[in-house]
Amino acid sequence: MKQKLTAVIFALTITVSCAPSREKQTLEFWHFWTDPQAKPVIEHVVGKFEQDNPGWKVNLTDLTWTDGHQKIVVAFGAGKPPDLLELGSDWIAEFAFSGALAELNYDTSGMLLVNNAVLDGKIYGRPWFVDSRVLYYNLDLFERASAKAPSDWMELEQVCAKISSLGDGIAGFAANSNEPHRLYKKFLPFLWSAGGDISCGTDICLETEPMHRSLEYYARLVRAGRIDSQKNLEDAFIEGKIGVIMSGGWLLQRLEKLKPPFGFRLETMVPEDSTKKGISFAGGEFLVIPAKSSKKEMAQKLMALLTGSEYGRILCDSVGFGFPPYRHIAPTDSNRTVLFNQLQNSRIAPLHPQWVYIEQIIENMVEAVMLGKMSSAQAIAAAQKKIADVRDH
Amino acid sequence: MRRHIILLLTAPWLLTLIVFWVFPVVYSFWLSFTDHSVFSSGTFVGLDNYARLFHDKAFLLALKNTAFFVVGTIPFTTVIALVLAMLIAEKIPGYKIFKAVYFLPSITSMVVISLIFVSLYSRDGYLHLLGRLLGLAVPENGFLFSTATALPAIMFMDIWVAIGYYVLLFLAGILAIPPEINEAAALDGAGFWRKLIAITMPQIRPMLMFILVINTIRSFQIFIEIFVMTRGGPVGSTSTLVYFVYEEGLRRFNIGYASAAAYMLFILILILSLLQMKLLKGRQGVAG
Repeated sequence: MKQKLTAVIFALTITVSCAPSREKQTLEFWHFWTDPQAKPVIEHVVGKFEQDNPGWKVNLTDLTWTDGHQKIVVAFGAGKPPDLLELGSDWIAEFAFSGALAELNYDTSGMLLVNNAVLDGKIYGRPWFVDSRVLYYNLDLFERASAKAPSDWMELEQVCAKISSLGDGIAGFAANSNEPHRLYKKFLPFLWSAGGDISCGTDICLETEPMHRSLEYYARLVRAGRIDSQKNLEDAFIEGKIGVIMSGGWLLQRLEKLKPPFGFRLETMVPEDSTKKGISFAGGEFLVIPAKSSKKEMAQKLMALLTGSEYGRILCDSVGFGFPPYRHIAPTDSNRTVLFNQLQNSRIAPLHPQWVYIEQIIENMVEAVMLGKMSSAQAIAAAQKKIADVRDH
Repeated sequence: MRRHIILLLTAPWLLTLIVFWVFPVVYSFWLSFTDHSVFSSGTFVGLDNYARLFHDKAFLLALKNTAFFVVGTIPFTTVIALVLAMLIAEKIPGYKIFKAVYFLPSITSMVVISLIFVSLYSRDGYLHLLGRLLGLAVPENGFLFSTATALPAIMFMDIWVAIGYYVLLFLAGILAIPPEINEAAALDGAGFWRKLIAITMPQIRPMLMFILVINTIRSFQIFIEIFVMTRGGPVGSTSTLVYFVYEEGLRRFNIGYASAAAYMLFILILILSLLQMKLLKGRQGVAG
């Protein structure tokens, strides 16, 4: 009897332990789309993924732009990153260079900004949501200042000076300060539109002729303008106190919603002269898979679904700005067409392992000239020396 | 048995102390001798991080700004708080209301206060407007967007915030002076200044020492105001030591280097605090 009972218990134990587990496998996905318009879209796509892949459950974790970066860094540092992760376009380099991201393999034809995630010929991220920066004109202020839309830098400077001379707290141009990650995105388009660049091979070269020209010009433009934080500058533009501001699609969304009592127009970046192109800054959101994820295949499947043109368009429509990263999905309204056209003539921040230092050095250089603390020659030489110091360490 | 019970009862606090205080302090001290970053465990580099700090222009600028902040706020905070405490101690009409009003900024979130002052200091802010009305040469884009005024503007705000707490401490010191000492001095014909120099100041010296030490430590650790108001800008003119540690550690992930900077700050605060205590104790000895 005792032997029989032991045999039954043994058989039951084997049956239970060998039975297929009904517990679903989970995929950790960290993202920044917490606003009430976008979150349901993400949840819908995740729901579709779970439906198509029974046995898989996606755990969504919301991040905020205030401290999301720190949480991601801590997760990587602790060796417990998620399986799929959203990153801002200017964060890709720091994680990719440190070996924290998995190499991806997908068809990149017709996709925008893919180069932002390519290092040494290897792809580390997939663009999800892209946007550019364009110039916004307050047409009422243009009319009051008897100014017409500028076609080159000289005209832009004259227009801004005329608008500033209207007085009453009105500024011709809007310039950023006291905020990291902002100013370089506003200054580099001027350098690029002057035919210059800061990347020279794998190094950063600031002491170039276009850099001197664009920095001196930018400082002159700012002196006929207002220096403030991005939010305050955009608020001032909406209040009708700024003639020209450089911003992304989010400002258009605010203007359409608030309907200010003045006319406005979006224009692509003004070139230095008629022989050159007006080039702007592009950025956006990317999806990456951490190298330590053990579920890379499924993560890539979810990544493909999220970044596909169908859901990409729905996401952009729900947010009210930005574009899916595909050349063939062009907008229909005129203002968004300006942003989309600019996207075709936009560049990204250089992919450099020490970009987090270089970015600050460039911003300090521009600020020093903007605020009259140094001449452009002094500031460029000092910044180049700082970059050499950073490289040596 | 009794020892075991004591150990058991203090265990939760001891564990918290060891896990959240002792271990991080010791571990960060070790890290300061390595090139540890978030993505690599790092190797031992000896005193390299400390030597590098003395050649790092960003660190030296942060050190200069912090020293300026400390020297420019502590005397004002201390003197104004002492004067206000003496006025309240005299029980001027409405002194209870004043006591509460002065203390109000100390119990308000520093983030909230900083955001309010960002608005007040801005190009369209009330303080900017007031400056213009008074005919002062105010910076065109607001106080926080000029290298000349950004740090003094934050210092002004900090003095305003800190005073209330020190008023209460001074008040406690002043009220602890036995009234008969002042009464006897008054009978002997001592005036306000004589009583202040000969009675009040010597009697509140321990409190003064305490206030100077904690004010020094607090001023060296200024961070929230900088983070919220200027992010160290413009052109690094408001970058302070703790902000430097934050930038190196949490934005650039150089944990080893950031730890070395944090220990430099610790050594600096320790030396200054010991110096203050020695000086004030020495004077007390002479006076006593």
